Amino acid sequence: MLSSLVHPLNAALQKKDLEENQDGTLYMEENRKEIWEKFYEKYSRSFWFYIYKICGNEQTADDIFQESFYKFLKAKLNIQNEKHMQVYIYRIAYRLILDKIRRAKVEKKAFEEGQQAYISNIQKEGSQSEIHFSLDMEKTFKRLKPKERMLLWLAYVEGYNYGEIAEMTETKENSLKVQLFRARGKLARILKRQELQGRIQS
Amino acid sequence: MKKKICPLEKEVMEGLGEKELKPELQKHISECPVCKDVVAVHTWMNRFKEKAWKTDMPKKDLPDARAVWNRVFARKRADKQTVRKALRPLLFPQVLSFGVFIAGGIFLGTKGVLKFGNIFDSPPLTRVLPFFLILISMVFFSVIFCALLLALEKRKKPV
Repeated sequence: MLSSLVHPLNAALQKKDLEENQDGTLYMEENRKEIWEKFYEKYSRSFWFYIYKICGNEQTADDIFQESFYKFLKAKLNIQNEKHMQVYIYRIAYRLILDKIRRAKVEKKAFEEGQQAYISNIQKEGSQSEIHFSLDMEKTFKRLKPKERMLLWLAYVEGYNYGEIAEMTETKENSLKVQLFRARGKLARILKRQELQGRIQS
Repeated sequence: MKKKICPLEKEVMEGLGEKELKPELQKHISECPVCKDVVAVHTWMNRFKEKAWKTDMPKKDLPDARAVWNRVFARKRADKQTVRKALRPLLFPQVLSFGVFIAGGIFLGTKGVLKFGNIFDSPPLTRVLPFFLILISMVFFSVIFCALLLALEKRKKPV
């Protein structure tokens, strides 16, 4: 109480979200806890998969996944609805992914490692043509920059609209439209070239 | 200027989610370069996702909600302990500042600050010292109190 009198910021931040009881057990309003659990059960797998596809490395994806949820739960978010939570957690992941990529510069290394793991996974289950096809798709996807991959994934796989993606990637909507247009155009040109090469070879 | 956005893009995307595209949309896609790209990219991305999901996800074990929750909580507690340890060296200056503050107050009380005649008759050091002590102790007190706000724990109401 004294700290909230002296420090106005403390009073403003007194939202009971993630706090500790006297005996050390965790306290959270029951309805929020339920919301969090349902949200996690519904979205955790697709969220992890998105991070994995952007980063190209399973360990990195695991780290970012854990860190995202840590920041998410620590943030004392004023939950409005499920969409709001999704946008928020994707925004956290966006920042973490960019940080990771900038710091480590593991793009090439991650792709090679990921490629090896991917090949061994497919070889156990798939046919030879399927391996080539899947690898080609991976290679194609990796030709895009990380931000381009993120934008295309969020727009065409996850199905978010411009406003939501702009919030997740901390970009203005008009800039986002231009970036998405360029990313889409780039992928479309790559696919057309591959189709043409396929026709020439056959 | 090249068209970057098509007003029918949203309908096209919704149509792609359904089994068959409406004839008017199909006609539009054949004429619109933006929507052609949208269809090509959307189809490819979703096919890529399907293939990759079948390969990567079945073997992936993610922790359940409770495990994530516990890890976050444990880490948060560890962070708090780190902050407490970091602020421990400030304890001595805090005690000192309280002491100076109290000593200054007692000094002022016993010397009779309100009796201005006495104070102006005293030697210069004795005149200045009480005010100096109060000023220093107030500065110390403010700085340390702000630092201690980080380490203060709120009283929690049990569930």
